[in-house]
Amino acid sequence: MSYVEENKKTLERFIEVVGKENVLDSKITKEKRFYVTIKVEKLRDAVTYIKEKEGLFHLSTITGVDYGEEREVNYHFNRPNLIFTIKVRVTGDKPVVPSITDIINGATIFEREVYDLIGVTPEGHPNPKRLLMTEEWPEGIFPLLKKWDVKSLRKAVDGEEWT
Amino acid sequence: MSDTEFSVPIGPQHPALKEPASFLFKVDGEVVVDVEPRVGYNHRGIEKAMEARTYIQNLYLTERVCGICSNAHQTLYAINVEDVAGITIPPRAKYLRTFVHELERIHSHLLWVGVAAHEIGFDTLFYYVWRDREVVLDILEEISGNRVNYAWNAIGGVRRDIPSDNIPKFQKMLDILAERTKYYTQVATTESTITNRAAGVGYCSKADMIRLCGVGPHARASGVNKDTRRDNPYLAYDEIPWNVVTTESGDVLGNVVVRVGELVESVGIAKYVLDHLPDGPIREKFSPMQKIPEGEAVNMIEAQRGEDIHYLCSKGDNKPYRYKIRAPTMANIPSLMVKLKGGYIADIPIVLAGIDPCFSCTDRMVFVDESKEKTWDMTDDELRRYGIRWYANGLNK
Repeated sequence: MSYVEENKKTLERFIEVVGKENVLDSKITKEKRFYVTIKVEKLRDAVTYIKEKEGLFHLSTITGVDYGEEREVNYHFNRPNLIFTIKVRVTGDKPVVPSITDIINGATIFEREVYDLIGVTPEGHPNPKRLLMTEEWPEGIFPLLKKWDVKSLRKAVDGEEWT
Repeated sequence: MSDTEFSVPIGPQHPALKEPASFLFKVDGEVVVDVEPRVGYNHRGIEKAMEARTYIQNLYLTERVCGICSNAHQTLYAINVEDVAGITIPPRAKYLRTFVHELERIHSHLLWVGVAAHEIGFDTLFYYVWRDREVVLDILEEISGNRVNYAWNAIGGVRRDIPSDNIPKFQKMLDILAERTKYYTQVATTESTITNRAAGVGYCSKADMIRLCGVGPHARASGVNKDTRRDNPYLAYDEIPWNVVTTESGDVLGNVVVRVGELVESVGIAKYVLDHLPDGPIREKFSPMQKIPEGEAVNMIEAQRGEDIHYLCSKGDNKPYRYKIRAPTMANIPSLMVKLKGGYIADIPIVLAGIDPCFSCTDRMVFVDESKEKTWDMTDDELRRYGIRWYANGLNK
């Protein structure tokens, strides 16, 4: 079986296991890149499933994207000839996702990074400390949010005007 | 904390560090019992800066993510933008990109072998290897004008062509490298100066490596048969014959064996590319302020240190809406912790160097004896000498 068919089957099974009503969107580009948006409650089930049944146990990284009202968290998994991205969306008022570090141990450092830069808290993370920002970095300021530009960020963090 | 446990912070600052990082070691006598990493000292906000720059400007910004894998990041960025913009690059550009990508791997691996040899006090090998590294740097300088930061890629292809007159000369230089790298594979496995210091040091099992998502030569040294060039082929890698190098040993010696093995393969790939260079144009047009359609792309390439992944989200503007870069060292930190735990203080430099991190130098070490409130400093050089002396005096027995 060629990887194209295999990848398609993976996606079909994935949607079946997670449940059609929980899959909000799915997209395929170049037959090797899948992007599937699911409800945040099903995240842990979905990750457990693809890790154990589909050979997608390698998490490459986690990307946070700020869309104003909502923040999107992308989990990029891969296996030969496939990069499988699971997306979940959370609201800006309550940006919390369940931690997957106990399922994929390598996620620990990526979840801390997502919190640091985009402010999405991994609930249940074993070591929820800052990773990239300094200890003195003010609480509640996440530099990759779209509301900050270089000038306003400088003012909020250092209290100085950007010159 | 018991009376016998000490806290040993290592890092973060050192004038020679490419990426500073800090590690807090808890040691009991000579044995490391726990380690906590702290990265981010070199966080420059590149991802934020990219959102304010056009696609062409970002081409040069991504090159400056790292000094050693500059071309890898730039190539991946160009692949991502071309993916969303729907540009297919000409075959000659594909091969030329592959050529520089492999040359960069050769120079980086040779640099690493030299650094690793220096860390264990084998300075003869260090001088040998760095002398041979000049050969590959000469090729890079001749085709791009620079020893590092080659500015080789353009969106839609490459910026310069290789004149066909120079190809026989490059072939000869690569022949020298092929011979030398074969010699190093022999040295790495038989020379007792290396095997005594590297065999069994910094062990990480295959299961741990998979569990902690390790990448690159670091993971292949533990028997994880994973290489992006074969698994998710990009550029011309699906047309070139080559092998993935793995070993089961999982220690620092494994790191050496994998890297020198990859050197041989990389020289082979570079020679193959020169022999099979297709004719034709070297780039597609992409204008400086060009907008690209809405969409997203995620791609991976095998940089020298392992799998490098970038994610691009475009909103149809001439600037990216979000660009995410994950360099391989980041992914290797959790598995590095496994390698350090249970080892000796004297092995810290070589185990840290083993993943080829950008922060291998550990210049300012502060030893804190918490039970006695005593503090003393140790420079990188002192720590390195301490390790060499420790082994020379047979204290490990």
